[in-house]
Amino acid sequence: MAAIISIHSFRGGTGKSNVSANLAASLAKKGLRTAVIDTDIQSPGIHVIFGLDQAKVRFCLNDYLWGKCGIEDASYDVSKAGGVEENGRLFLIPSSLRSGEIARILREGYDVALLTDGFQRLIRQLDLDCLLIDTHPGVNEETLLSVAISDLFIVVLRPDNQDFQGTAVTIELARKLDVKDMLLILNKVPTGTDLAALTADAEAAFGVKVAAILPLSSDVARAASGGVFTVNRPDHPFSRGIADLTKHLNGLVSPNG
Amino acid sequence: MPNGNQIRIELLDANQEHVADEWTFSPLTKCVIRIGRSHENDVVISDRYVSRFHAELRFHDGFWEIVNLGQHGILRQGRRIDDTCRLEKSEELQLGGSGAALRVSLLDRNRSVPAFPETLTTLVYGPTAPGRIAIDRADLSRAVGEIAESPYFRELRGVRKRLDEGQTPGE
Repeated sequence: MAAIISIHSFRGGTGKSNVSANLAASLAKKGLRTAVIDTDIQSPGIHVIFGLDQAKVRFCLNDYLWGKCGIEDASYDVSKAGGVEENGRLFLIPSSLRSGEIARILREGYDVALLTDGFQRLIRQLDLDCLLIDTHPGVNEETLLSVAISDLFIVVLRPDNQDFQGTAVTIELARKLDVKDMLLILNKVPTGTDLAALTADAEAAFGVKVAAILPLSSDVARAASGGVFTVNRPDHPFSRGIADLTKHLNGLVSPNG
Repeated sequence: MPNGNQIRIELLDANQEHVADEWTFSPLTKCVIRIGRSHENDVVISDRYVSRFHAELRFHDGFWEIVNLGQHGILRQGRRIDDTCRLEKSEELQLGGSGAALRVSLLDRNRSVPAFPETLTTLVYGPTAPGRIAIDRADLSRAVGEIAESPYFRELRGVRKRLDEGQTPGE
């Protein structure tokens, strides 16, 4: 069975989509058939990291939710952008960037339950080992649904007071939904931080293991989501952190489930 | 929060107009700050003109000193430092003749400075600020309770239960 991994943050700006894209690429490079789906319909962005040309996007997640296509029709092979050279494959299911379609979602909403069916169909149609869900920040219906059906719930936060309370709420809700596994990623951690103290404090506050600490990096900022960072800078501390995170998933994700 | 002898290092951009990155340290927790291109440093600067281990800032006898370690030296007010120099005030330093420029600020304990990090969104976290992740447990309990009692959340618990029993969510 394929593993479903939701990647979430309570607030925007935590680097969640960047983590999602880089983790997806890292898993695919290990030989896993991986897909990442952008359910952040209100503020999509992960397609930028993979350099997906919107002009070449015929269908996206929005079209599936409005019954215009099957969800697999909205999947795009981004293996090359993810640095996947052999064995594994990497697919992206983007949300629409067209302002009219985003406005329609905000105005009309959509049947959240369709997402569940879509995830299962994607896994079957693309023969996936792993499906990553890049969620919308905050606590809302689609986020909670993604959490409920996940095998692993990864929460990204910054060492920032704005992130703490909402992250705690999200984690407690995930516990009430009996999610099997949870991991924390501390992102945008400034140089000079006592990482051991931060890890211990985060694990005590949230009761969840810290799987990776990623630096507040001007290199990452300068890259400006212009590509998958771990592909372009494999030896960078950020990339090493993604490698740490990938190691944590060894027992959960494997080829052919 | 007192800033006793804290030191702030700002990496300036190529035009030396904007701060590209910054670090703040306290001698209470770190008396030697290593600067260079290697990721083993406390302040890592990705600049090919900066040596792997270019310089150290050392807190000694109540003062910060800059110590050159690299072969390219450090420029201070146009003059090259090849060994050690005490920092009397905040000033700009250049690592090598063509390397990165740093603005080093001494945060005087008696001077009124912004209450960094409390007033900034992204804070510097360290052993000088233990227990900083504070959760309001009463508020947490109230918020989780309100959401968990909603019909939608109860429905999701059913979805989860069906998954754990080996069924697909829609069954």
